[in-house]
Amino acid sequence: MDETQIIPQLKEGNETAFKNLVDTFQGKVLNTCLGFVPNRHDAEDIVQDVFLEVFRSINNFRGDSKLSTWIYRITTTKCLEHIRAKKREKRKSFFQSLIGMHENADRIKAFDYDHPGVLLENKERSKTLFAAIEKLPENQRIAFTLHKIEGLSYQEITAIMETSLSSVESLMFRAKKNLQKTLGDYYKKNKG
Amino acid sequence: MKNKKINIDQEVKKTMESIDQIQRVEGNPFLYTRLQEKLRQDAEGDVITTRTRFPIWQFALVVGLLFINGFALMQSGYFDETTETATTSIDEFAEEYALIVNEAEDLEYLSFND
Repeated sequence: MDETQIIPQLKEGNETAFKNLVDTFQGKVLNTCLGFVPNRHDAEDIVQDVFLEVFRSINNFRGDSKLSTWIYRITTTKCLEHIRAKKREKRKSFFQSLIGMHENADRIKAFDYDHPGVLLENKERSKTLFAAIEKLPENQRIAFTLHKIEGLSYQEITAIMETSLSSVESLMFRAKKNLQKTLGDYYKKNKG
Repeated sequence: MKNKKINIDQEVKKTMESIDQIQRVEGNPFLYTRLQEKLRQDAEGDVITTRTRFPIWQFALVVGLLFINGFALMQSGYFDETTETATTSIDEFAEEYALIVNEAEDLEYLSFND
C-alpha cells in the first residue's frame, strides 16, 4: 500500500481506499488491542473505534509521521481510554456491591480475560502475565506491549510515543524489572 | 531454601517467555461492513441532530421572550400596582363588615369594663 497515494484518496472520502486501509491494518490494530485488552469482544469494539477515528480525522493527519505510526498512536490512545473507562466502571461496581447491587460487578468480572491467541496450555501462565502487565505504569505498559506483543522495534515505538530512543530503552528495562518483581512476589505467595 | 528460590525464578522466566508463544489473531471479516453501517448511522444522526436543533432554538426564543416580558412588567411597576389594588380591596371589605379595630376605642372599652 503506497501511503503517498492512499492518504489523498482517504482525505477525499474514497471508500475503496478506506477498505484497503482497513484490510491492511486490521490485523495489526486487533493484535495491538489484544495486547492491551486481552478480550476479543472488547478488542474488536476498540478496533472499530480506531478505524472510525481514522476515517473522521484523516484530514488532520499532516504526514509528519508514517501512516502506520499515526494509526498505532490512535490505537494506543483508544486502548488506554478503554482501560481507564473499565477502571472507572470497576470502581463504580465496587461501590454498588457495597450497597448490595452485585449484578454489575459480576458482569465485569466475567469479561476480564479471554485472549484468543493464547494456547490452552499457556492460558494460566499468560493470564498471570497479563495481570502483572496491567499493574505497570502506563508508559512502561505501552512500550512493553508494542515491543513484546506487537513486535515493533524501539525506533517505531519512539515515533509512536513521541519520545527519545533512550527513554524507550529505559521504559523497557523498568517494565521488565517491574514484571519480574510482580511475578516473583506472586509465585512466592502462591507457590511458596 | 535455595531450591525454592530457583523454582520461583524458573516460574518467572517461563511466564515472561509465555508472551512469545502468543499467536497472532485474524481480524473479523465483517469489520468493514460494520464500519460502513456505523458511518451510515453517523451520517443519519447528523441529519437528525440538525433537524432537532431547530425546536431547541425555538424553545430558547420563547423562554427569552417570556423573560423579556417579565422583566418589562417588573420595570413598569405592574406587580406593585396589583399588590396595592389587592390591599385596597381587602381594606374595603374589612371596613364594610366592621372588621377594622380602632385601638383607641378598644382601650377605652377595656378600661371602662375594668
